[in-house]
Amino acid sequence: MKVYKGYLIALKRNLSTFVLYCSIFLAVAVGMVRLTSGESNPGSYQQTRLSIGVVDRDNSLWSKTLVEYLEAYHKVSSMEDHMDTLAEAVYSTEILYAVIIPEDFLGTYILGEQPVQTLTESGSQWEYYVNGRIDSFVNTARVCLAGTESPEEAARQVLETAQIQGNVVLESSREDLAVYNVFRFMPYLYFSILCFVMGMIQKEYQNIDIRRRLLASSLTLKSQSIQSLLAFFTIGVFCWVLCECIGIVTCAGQFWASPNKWLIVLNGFTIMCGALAASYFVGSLAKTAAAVNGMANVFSLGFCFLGGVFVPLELLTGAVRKIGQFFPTYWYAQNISILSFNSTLTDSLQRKLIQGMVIQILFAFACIAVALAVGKARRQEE
Amino acid sequence: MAMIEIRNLVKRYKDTIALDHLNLDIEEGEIFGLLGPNGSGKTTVINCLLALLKFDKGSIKIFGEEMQPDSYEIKRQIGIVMQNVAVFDELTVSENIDYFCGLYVPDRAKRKKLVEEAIVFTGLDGYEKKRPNKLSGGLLRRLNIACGIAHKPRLVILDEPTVAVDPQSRNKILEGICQMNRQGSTIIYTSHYMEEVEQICSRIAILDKGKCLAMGTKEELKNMIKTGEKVHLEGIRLTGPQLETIRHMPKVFSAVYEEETLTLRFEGNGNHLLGLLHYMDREHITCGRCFSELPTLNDVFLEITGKELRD
Repeated sequence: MKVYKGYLIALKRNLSTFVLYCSIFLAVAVGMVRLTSGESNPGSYQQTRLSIGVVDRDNSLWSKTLVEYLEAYHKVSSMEDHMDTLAEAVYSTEILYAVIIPEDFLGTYILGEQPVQTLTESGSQWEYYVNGRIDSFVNTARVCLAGTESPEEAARQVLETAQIQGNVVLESSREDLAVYNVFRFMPYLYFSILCFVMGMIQKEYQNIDIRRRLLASSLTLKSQSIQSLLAFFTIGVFCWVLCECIGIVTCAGQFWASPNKWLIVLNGFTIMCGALAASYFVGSLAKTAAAVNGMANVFSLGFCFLGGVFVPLELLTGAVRKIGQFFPTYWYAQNISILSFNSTLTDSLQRKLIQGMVIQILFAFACIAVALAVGKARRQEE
Repeated sequence: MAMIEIRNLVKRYKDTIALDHLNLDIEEGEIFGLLGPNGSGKTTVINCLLALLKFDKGSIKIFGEEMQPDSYEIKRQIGIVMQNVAVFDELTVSENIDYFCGLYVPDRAKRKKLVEEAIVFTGLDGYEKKRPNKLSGGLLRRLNIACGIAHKPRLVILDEPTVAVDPQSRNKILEGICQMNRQGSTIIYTSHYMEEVEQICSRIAILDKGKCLAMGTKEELKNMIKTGEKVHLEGIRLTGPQLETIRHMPKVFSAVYEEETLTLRFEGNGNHLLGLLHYMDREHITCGRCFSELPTLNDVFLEITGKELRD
């Protein structure tokens, strides 16, 4: 097992690089966790209260009931009955939504078929949100009017329904951001450590004179290849265990609470395989230490920038996303996003997850195949 | 039967013939020198011997068996010292020797002893914990040799091991090679430094353009050529008739007289300086400095190929 041990001894010499990268990562990770789990982010659910302006032309029981009903959900203010003023207020986002309650509100609108006149940004999410509330009011009022004899009683019952609040439990709270923010950056750690360290070691093994010396020895070529492969795998697994442990230690509580913790670790394994293959590629192609350094930086930074590791995938533009899909980091980032923010994995999410992992593994195979082909061509040239 | 038999070996690199029907026999226990200028095919012979290169024609037998890429039993008995230093920068001196020795000797205890012996043998004691990048050129070369010979092979192949080495380290390396030979190893030594080859090799093959031009002991090689002793006389003043007389002296092969320096080459064996000095005494010819040289391998190479060995 001399070839195998040779790799491990060489790794021992490069442990300082390991420690350096891990320390930097640990410092950044701790910072990220502190940032995302501070008091300013309690992690509870809060209903959004919008600024709504109301013009009450009816000034009746039902118009007042509507205003009161809306006040239960939003911040309501009375507005001047002037269309230009309303439009100006919506335009300047002083209010997000304006409701004009016309005369004979009960007859024409609650009991009739006419819709209430509103003014807001067309297609916005608050348009749908407040429209839904007003529709809900009209429907409840119709039911209550039909079910009771007195309009006052009906109005009271409508307002009572506004007090009904759903109990919202967040299965994916802001605390999970710690897991997301720490494990999201793992690919950089894998690519930088493995490409740099293994690239350096592999570069030496690719030296033509050392290769000749190994080929001239009595150790079979098969044994040499198996030992090299085994050494690569061992170092990869060592790196994986180390990096994942750093991640787990950094956000211990949140990690153990995550229902997808083992899938997060598995996702780390697949990206480690990709990084390991990339390091083999770097070591096979680079002839000098400077070349290894350069290529390791291109791989780690390039893949992480384009793959949505440094910048969340949602913020990447279409073209960048398309390019990013060629890199394993993109699929890692997508998987870590799924695993961090979904406690229950639906069939489609599971499919997406497996697809992402398979693509990362395929990238590793492709990388090794290209490195072998280039290496063979170079050997023939030599 | 010879330890190594090379028959009709032909190796082509596209249109270039690197080895042209080469025949060599190397006997057990000898230090066999492969002498030739750069590009003459020395390293190609070595690579073919170790089955690192496929050849186009011919056969190679080592220890009586056909050499193939998977002849691991034969490879086990061979030690190779590459032309360039082939060690790991990440490993220390002793780790490097242990690593390469471990490719041949799996037993740890046995290997430990061999590594220690190799360190002492190459004079690397005191440098065991140093990394190669902290060693001087000469020490690095010695480490390269230690890595190749630590497993005590029956056959050691040294491909120009003294290139870019200081004289002190060179002498140490050459002494070591002779010692290895005395301990029973057969040595194949390639170089383009004729002095080294002449100094240590028991038999020599002169290669040029992939062909073996001559083979034998250094004495046999020198006897193959026409020129013998070479005499230089500096600060000598000769008249035309005196020069003509010298030119027509017995065994004089050539006489060149330029800027009061006379260079004479004689044919065959023997010393001719005394006869020349007698003539000068009779003619009252004086000279500033006078010395005589016996033919070297460079002269052999020059006469066989028509060019200097270091061209």
